Amino acid sequence: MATAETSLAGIAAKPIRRASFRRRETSAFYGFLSPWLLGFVVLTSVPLVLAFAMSFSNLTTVNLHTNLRYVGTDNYVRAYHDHEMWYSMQRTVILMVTLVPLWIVTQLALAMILDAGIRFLGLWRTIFYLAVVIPAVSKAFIWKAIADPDGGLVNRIVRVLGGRGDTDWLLDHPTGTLIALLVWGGAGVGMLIFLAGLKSIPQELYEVARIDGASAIRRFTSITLPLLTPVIMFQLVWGLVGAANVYVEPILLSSGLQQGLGSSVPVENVTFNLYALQRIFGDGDFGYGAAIAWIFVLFLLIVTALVFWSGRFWVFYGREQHGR
Amino acid sequence: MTVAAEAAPVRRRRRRTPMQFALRRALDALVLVLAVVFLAPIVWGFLGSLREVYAGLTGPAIPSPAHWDNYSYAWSGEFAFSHYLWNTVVLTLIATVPAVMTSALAGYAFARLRARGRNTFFIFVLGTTFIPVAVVFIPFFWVVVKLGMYSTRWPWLIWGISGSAYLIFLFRQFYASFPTELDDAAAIDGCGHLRTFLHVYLPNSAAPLAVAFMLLGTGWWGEYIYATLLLPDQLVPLGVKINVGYYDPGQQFTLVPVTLAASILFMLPPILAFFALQKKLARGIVTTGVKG
Amino acid sequence: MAEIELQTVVKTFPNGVRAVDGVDLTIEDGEFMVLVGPSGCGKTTLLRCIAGLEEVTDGAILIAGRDVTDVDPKHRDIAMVFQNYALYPHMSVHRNIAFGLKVRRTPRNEIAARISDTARLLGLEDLMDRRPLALSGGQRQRVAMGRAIARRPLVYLMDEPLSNLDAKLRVRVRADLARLHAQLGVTTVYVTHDQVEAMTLGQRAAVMNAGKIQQVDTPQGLYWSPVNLFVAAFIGSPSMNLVEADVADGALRFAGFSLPLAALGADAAKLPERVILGVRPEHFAEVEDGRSPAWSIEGDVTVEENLGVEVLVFFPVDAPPVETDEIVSIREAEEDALLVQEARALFTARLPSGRRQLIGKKIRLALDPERCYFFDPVTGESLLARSAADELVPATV
Repeated sequence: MATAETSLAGIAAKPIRRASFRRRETSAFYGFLSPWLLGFVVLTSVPLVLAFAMSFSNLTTVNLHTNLRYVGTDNYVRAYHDHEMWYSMQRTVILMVTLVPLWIVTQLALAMILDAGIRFLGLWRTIFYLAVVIPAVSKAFIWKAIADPDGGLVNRIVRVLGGRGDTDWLLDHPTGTLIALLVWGGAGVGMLIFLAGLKSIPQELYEVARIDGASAIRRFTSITLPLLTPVIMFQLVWGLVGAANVYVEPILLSSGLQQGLGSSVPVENVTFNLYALQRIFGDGDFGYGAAIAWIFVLFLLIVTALVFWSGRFWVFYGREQHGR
Repeated sequence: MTVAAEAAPVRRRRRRTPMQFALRRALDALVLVLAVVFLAPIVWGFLGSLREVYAGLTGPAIPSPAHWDNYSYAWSGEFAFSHYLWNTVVLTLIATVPAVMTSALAGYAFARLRARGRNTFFIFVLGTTFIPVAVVFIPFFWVVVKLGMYSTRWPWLIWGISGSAYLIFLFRQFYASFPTELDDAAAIDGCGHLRTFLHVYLPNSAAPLAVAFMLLGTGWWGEYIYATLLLPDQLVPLGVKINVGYYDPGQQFTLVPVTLAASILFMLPPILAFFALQKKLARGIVTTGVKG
Repeated sequence: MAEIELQTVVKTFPNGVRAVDGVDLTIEDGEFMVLVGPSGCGKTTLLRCIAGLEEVTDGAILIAGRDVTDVDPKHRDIAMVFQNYALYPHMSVHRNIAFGLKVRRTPRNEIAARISDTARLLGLEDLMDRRPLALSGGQRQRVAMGRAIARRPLVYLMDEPLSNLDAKLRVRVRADLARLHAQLGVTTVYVTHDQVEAMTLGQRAAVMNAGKIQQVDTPQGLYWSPVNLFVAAFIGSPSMNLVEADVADGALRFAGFSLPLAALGADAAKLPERVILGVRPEHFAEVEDGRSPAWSIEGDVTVEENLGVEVLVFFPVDAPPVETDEIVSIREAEEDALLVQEARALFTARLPSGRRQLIGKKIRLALDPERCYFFDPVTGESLLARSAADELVPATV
C-alpha cells in the first residue's frame, strides 16, 4: 500500500509528465494525418454535408440563383415513387450478387492453382494480373472489339462452333458483357491477396491432416476455407463496395461522355450510382440527384453492416491480435 | 525461397502414383487454358489494331498484311498524342507521388504512434472508402469552382496530398509487422518520429511502395470521369481523347483499328511499369496481406 | 560519475497492469547491475523506463545526478542493446553504428575515429560493409554492441542481449561482455531472465517479481542469503527443494521424517510452528549403506540424470509440493510445467557421479542444518540468517 505521502507526490507530479510525453506523440500522430485530413475535409466531408443539404432543396441548374428553397422530404418521396430508380437499384443488386461470388471464386481458384506448386509461377501470376493495370478506356475498347456483332471474337468462336454468331452482345446482353469485363479486369488483385492468405497457412496443418488421413477435399473444407475466412470477409466487403460503385465501365462501354453523361448506356446497365449521376448531369436536377445518392449511401451502409454482422457466424479469427 | 529450393529435389525424387501424375497434367492444362482466356482479350485488341483502317473488325482472324501504320496515325493523326500523353503523366504524378508519401506517413502513424482515439480514427478513415462517388460528386464540383480550381490541375494535387484510405490501410498493415525495437533503437539513437519514419521505415518499404505506386498510379493513369468533367481540352489526359475515338476525314464513322492502336499505346506505360515492379509487387502484396 | 538512482518508480500501463511497482534502486558508477526475474516481472519495463522509452507513472529517475524523468531518450545520454538487436536492415554495419552519431551531429572525423575504434575492439573490421541480413547471429549481436559502444554514453542498457544466441555462443559472448565491461568501466544495467547470466555477469543483481525488487545483492549474497522464498527458489539450478514442515516436540517433522531441532542450536527457538524447509540439491550428501544420521531423509529414486561429473537424482517425498504464488510464477515463466501433476513433492539431489545406477533404488541423504533454509509459510520471508560457507563443494559424510 502506498503511503499518504507518496500518493500525494504522485498526484502532484502526474499532470506535468503526461503533458510532456503523451502529448508529443499525439500531436505527431495528428500532424502526420493532417494531409489526409485536409483532403478529407475539402474533397469529402464538405461535399457530403452540402449534398445532404441539397437533397432537401429544389436545386437545379435553372433555379441555382432564383427560387431556391427548402422542399422538405419531397425529393425522397419522389424517389420512392420513381420506378426507374427502383429499377436501377435492382440492376445494382444484380451486379452485386453476381459479381461478388464470381470474383471470389475466380480469385480463390486462381490463387489455389498458383499455390499448388505449379511451374513458371511468375509467368502465370503476371498473366492473370495483367488486366488490372490496363486503363478502363483501353479495356472498354478491347471489350467492344470482342463483343462486336460482326468481327468480334465471341461471335467468331460461336461461328466456328457452328452457331449463327450474329448476337450484338453489347446491346442484347449488356449486363453479361459488363460482368465479363469486370471479372476479367478485377480478378488480379484479389488473386494476389488470396495467394498471400494461402501462403500464411502453416504447412504443418496440412501434413497433420494428411497423417490423419484427410482427403484433398476434406483438407480444403476443414483447413483452407476456415483459415481463409478473414481474407474472404475482406474480399467480400471490398467486392460489394466495388460492385455497388460500378458506373465508369457502363459509360465507357456505350459511347462515353460526349453525348451527355451516359445517356446512351443501355437501361440494364444504368446502375444506382449512374442513375444519380444522370439526374445530376443529364437533367441538372441537383436536389433530386443528391437525394438518390443519399439513399444509395444508406443502402450500402445497411448491406455492409449486415455483412460485417454476419461475420461473427462464419469468420474465424484464430490469430492473436498483436503489437501496439 | 530457400525452403522451396531445398524441398524441390526431394519432391522430384518421390515416385508419383499415376493418379497424382494425371492430376499434375490436368493442373498444367487448366492453368494454360486460363492463361489463354485471360490473355485473349489483350491479344484480340492487338490484332484488331493491325487491321485495315476502314475494315473495322472484319477480315481474317489474324490480319494480313498487318497495318502498323495505324499506330503512326494514332500517334499523330487526329490529335497531338504526345501532348496528351504528357498531360496524363503530369496528372498521374501529381496525384500519385504525394499520395503514396502521405499515405505511408499516415500508415506509420496508425501503426506506431500511440495517441488517444487512434483506433476509432482508423475505423473512420476506412469508413470513408465506403462513401460512394455519386453522393459527393455535385457538391465537390461546387467546392472546386468556389476555390477557383475548375479547369486547373489543382484538384489532382489535392487528391495527391490527401492520400488514399486504402493505401493508409496497406501501409499500416505493413508497418504493424515491423519490430517495435526498431523504433526504440531509433529513439535511443536520437530520432524523433518524423526522422524515424524517414530514415528507418521508408527505406525499408520498397515492397508496399511498389504496390502503392502501382495501384494508385494505374488508377489515375486511366481516370476518366473527373478529367472529362473538370478539365479543358488543353489539359485532359489521353483517356479522354482516345475515348472520343478516331474518325474518318468525313467524321462519319469510327476508325476502330486506329482507336485500338491508341488504346494499346495508352496501356503500354502501366504495363511496362508493372513488369518493372513485378517482383516487389508480388512480395508487397504478400507482406501487406490482410491480417485481422 | 554516472550513477543511476531510481526513486519509487511506478509504471502502470493503460490497461491497468502495474508492471513496475515502486522500485527504489541505486546503481553505482561503473557498476554492472543485473535485473533478473521471471518473464512478466517488470524488469524489461523498468529498463525501458530508465531508457525513457516508457514514461513512468510515478517516481523519479536520476542519471549522473540529473533528473531525467521527463527527458527524451535521446537526451539521456544512454545506449541500449536489444534482445533482437534491432539493427536497421537497410544500413550497412558501418552506417548502423554511425547513425546515432550522425543524428547527434558528431563531427565527421570524430565519427570515423570512434567507428574504427569500435570495430577494432569488437573485431568487426571485415564486416563493416555488410548488411545485417548477411550476418550471423553472433555477428549481429556484436554490431548491436558496437552501436552502443561507439556512442560512448554514460550508461549502457541491455535487454536480454544474449537470449537469441545458441547455448555455446552465449557462454563465449558472456565472457566477452564481462571483459568489455572491465575494459570500459561504464555503468551497465542488464536485464535477463536467466539466473546463470545474472550470477556470472552481475557485480550485483536485483531479483524482481511482480514489479517489485525482492533483493539486491551480490551473486554470492543471493545464493547464500536469500531474503525470501522467491529469491531462494529463483536463484540456483536446479532450484531449491521446498517442503512444508511442522515444528513440534523438539523436532522438524515432514513427510514422515523427524529431524531433531537441537542441531540448529539457539536458532531453533526462532522457528514458528509451521515453516517451509528449503534444501539446495547440492547440499545433500549421500549416506553410506547402513548408517543413519539424525539429519537425513530417505527416498526412492524415480529419475536419474547423469551429467558426467555429477548426477541429478529425483525422488518423491511424502508431502504435498509447495505451491505458493511465487513458486508457480517461476515455474510458469520457465515453462517448466510438469507433464504429470505430482501429488507429492519431488526432491532433487546433486551428487558426485559414481559407477552404480541409482534409479529404482532407495537412497539415504544427509542434510546439513547450517545449510537448510527456513521460510515463513505465509509471508515467505527467510526465518534464519544464513551466510556463505567457507567451502563450496558439498562434503560427503
